[in-house]
Amino acid sequence: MPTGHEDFDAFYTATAKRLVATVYAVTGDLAEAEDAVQEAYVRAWQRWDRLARDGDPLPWVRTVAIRLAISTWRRARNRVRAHFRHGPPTEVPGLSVDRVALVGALGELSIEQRQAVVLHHLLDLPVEEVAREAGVSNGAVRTRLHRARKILGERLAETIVTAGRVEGVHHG
Amino acid sequence: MAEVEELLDGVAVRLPAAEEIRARGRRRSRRRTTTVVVCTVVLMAAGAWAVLPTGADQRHRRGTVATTPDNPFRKDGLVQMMRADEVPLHGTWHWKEDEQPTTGAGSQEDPLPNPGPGGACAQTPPPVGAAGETSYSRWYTGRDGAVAQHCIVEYDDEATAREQLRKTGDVLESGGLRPTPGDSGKAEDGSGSWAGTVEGGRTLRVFTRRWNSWVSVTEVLDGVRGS
Repeated sequence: MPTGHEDFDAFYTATAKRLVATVYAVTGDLAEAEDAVQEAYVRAWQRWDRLARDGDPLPWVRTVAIRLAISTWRRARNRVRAHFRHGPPTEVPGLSVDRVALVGALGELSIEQRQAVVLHHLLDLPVEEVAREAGVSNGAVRTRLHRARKILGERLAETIVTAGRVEGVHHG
Repeated sequence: MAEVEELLDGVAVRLPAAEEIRARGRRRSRRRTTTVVVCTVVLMAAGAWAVLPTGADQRHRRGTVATTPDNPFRKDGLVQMMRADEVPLHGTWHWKEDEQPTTGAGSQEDPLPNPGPGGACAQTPPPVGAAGETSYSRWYTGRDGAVAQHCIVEYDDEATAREQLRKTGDVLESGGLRPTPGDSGKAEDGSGSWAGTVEGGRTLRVFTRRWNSWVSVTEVLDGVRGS
């Protein structure tokens, strides 16, 4: 029969990397995502009995990790703004070009819209669950998704047009 | 759209072993336990024995045996934010949930002060507390420019929640708000309400409640009739 720490270890092993990817998709900063996810699991272990008793601990850990990451990311972003600097986006060695494009497109959205898009479209969570995790109403989530899709659509269209021009010049 | 794991295909992710995560949690719990013990001894020496916490999930009141009901702020693993019709004075202001804080994002123009516990109830959504706390907020708008915010904060332990709630009361009163008679937030469950006139002549009301390590704060700023 598995003990508490065996359950926790299995849960951590099965979910941690996916959670890092989720948080990374929301903030666009891999180092912050790794830190936030580790911190969320530390907090989860401190109350593991309660979380395990209440059912699936993953929504709790995900909510904490995203909130921690957004907090850190916001502080970092504000520091950058305060110094009127526009640093390059975080480089992630080994990240493929299309993944960079996807993260770049997500970067056009507000943090609230990114969270909604990532949870709903990348994790396939229903709107109701996204609303609970974000602490807002279902209507607010739908509004965020609608606006996000519009922005992403425009961004994708721009990308296609730009790619077409580049291709045209190249072959012309 | 891509599966989320595919974002990091081929990328080395820096994650420690599960054992290391558990070890960090244990070390932190030991430090906190030591701190709580020291604080408890000091409080007892000061004669404050009546308000001592007795453990994260235990509540005792002098001369009574308290029952431990289910967490009213979290059910089925989900935080229970107020529906619009549950916000105080709904009959007057007819609240509707708002996606964003009513104005700005933590700017000086925000109509609602920020009396939440330890500053955890930030104006910028989604709010995030400092280490050791996790907070959730929801905003509401009502008739005549009335605005409200509900904030729930989960602390790591009950002693911290009590302390933050006490500080919240102090902050409110130092800001000119007065406790509603007989409802000063000193009840065992932290229930309390304050009211006062703020800049612009509008009335701000704050309602608090606590359950174990959880704290709920609701702020209501009256509208201006005829505005």
